[in-house]
Amino acid sequence: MSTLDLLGTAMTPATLPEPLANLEPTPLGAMPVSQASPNLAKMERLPGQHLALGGRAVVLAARLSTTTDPVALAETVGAVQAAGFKALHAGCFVPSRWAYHLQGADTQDLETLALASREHGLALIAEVLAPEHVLAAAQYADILQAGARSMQNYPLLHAIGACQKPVLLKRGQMSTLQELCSTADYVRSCGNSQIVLCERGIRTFAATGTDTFDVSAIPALRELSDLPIIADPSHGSGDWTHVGAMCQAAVAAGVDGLLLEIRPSSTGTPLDTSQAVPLPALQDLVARLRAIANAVGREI
Amino acid sequence: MIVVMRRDAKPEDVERVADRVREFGLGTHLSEGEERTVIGIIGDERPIDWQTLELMQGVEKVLRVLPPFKLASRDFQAEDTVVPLNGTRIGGRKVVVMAGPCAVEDRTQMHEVAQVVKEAGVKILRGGAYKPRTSPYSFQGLGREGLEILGEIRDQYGLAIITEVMAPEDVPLVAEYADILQIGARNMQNFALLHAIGESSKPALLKRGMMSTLQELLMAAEYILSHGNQRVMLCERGIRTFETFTRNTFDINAIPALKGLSHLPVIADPSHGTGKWSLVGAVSKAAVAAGADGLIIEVHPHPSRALSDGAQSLKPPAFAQLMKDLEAVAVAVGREL
Repeated sequence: MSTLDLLGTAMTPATLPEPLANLEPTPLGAMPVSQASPNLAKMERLPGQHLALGGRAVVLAARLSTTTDPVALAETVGAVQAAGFKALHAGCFVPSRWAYHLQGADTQDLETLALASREHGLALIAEVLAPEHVLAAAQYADILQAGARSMQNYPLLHAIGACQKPVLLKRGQMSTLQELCSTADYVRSCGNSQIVLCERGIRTFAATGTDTFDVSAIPALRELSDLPIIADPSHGSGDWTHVGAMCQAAVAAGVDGLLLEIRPSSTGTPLDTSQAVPLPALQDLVARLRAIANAVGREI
Repeated sequence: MIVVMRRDAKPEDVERVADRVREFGLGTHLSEGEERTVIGIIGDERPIDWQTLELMQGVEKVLRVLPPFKLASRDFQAEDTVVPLNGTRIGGRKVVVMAGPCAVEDRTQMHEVAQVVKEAGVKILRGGAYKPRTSPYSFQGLGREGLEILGEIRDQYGLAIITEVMAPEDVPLVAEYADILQIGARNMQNFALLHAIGESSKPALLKRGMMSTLQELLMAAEYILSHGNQRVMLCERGIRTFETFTRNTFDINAIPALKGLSHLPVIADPSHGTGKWSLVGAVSKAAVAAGADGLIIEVHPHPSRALSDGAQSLKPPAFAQLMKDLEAVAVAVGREL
């Protein structure tokens, strides 16, 4: 199985790899972020910083409900780091099913989260929605994510594939495992092999939340692919205590990482609050996850 | 139950609805807002057919507050139901593993399996004598002869037996040989069968239908409970989805969700949940980590020669290894195997 270093890639702008340079690349469009931001200089990772995914350790990543309150952000990031989390997920450019819901923040917020991730030594995952986001997000994020609704957005995959950053590919809600693996091949064929697969639930008649978390996808993808696999069970139930149980199940089933939605301690969490694990419950959950990881020969 | 009246409902419409509710011996609480009136129903709303209330003049919609099942609900009984059986307790601290072949094929096969599972620490042997097969041309099970083999195995190895019963008239016969009566996924809403098992004194394992919601599963359990049999176990065995890599999609969320909704033990069937032996181990561990009270796993000494479900059956060495792995996971979540 392949192991990825999530922090080992240089923060250089994306370039097309040699063999693909003569293909017609998807136009990336204009970057929506100012290249002159003085904080960009702080984005370079220190030499020697590494975060392996696909090794013995199960990597925990926290997705924070978008918050603009810097005090709450600092407190939450500190707490998740103390609880053993190694990565943050930026809800920037986040797509919402509801046209009138919060549509995520802008690059300003991405920069804020990026600074917080550097301060706490956490990797940063950012979802990109459109090819023109890729270069902007790559300046701040360690991992670029194509979300479930973008799993077959080929211009986006092409742009991500041309970027020398690890890529997180989420399974579409209506996609089979074979289709997810084909998407991974797509990114690979664009020259980027640093790929992580993510099971996050599929559409069924029986979902108590938005989706039904498909735990058997974990061993199944292990058979189908050599890529690291992470699980994001937050949409698999409307109840965060059930999300905790599904996280435990995912670790027992052999997942390489977990993406978990966290509710910051303060108010002001407009997204998905009922499925987000509240901060005070986090330590207990991580302790249980650690015990299960040890039981299956892994560690957290 | 809450009845929301239409904006243009007349006071006499409201009065007629309130009268109808009182006919059931229930109280009403009127809340007259600026725009519309809402009627709260006081008392156990379950006997009322909410759909007929919705047909009454002036009614916009009816909202149910209580779940439609009662005896199966956590509200009715807060503490977990525990089913004692053959020196073990299903629903207690121990995670109970039931294992064996899909179908009883012959005496030799059953002796071989019984030895294997007993050595691995299993107390409950599974094996079908009556098989609800999709095709009428597939092996249908040995019937009474299969039951007799199971009886022999029970006596010789001291294993409890779980086996499926398909028809109400077979319940007394199967109950002679079985310690747990299994209701298969295809029979989850065979109400005559549920009724007959409700009147039996044997514990029942009720499998979730592959197209059934959790609420429908609990309503089916309610049938058995309401006919007097309190020893019911629920079983998640995968649901039908568009994904075809696995035979079914094992709904892991059903485990914590059912444990929250109901006091009944929850058993997981990763063999049918995945349909592939190579995935059974990981999903078994996942189920225990998610809080399952037990597992039912298919084991066959020669899967390639099995008359049914060979593809999802574990060979004896793989099963023995899985039992060791499961023990570690059970301990990690404060249980034991």
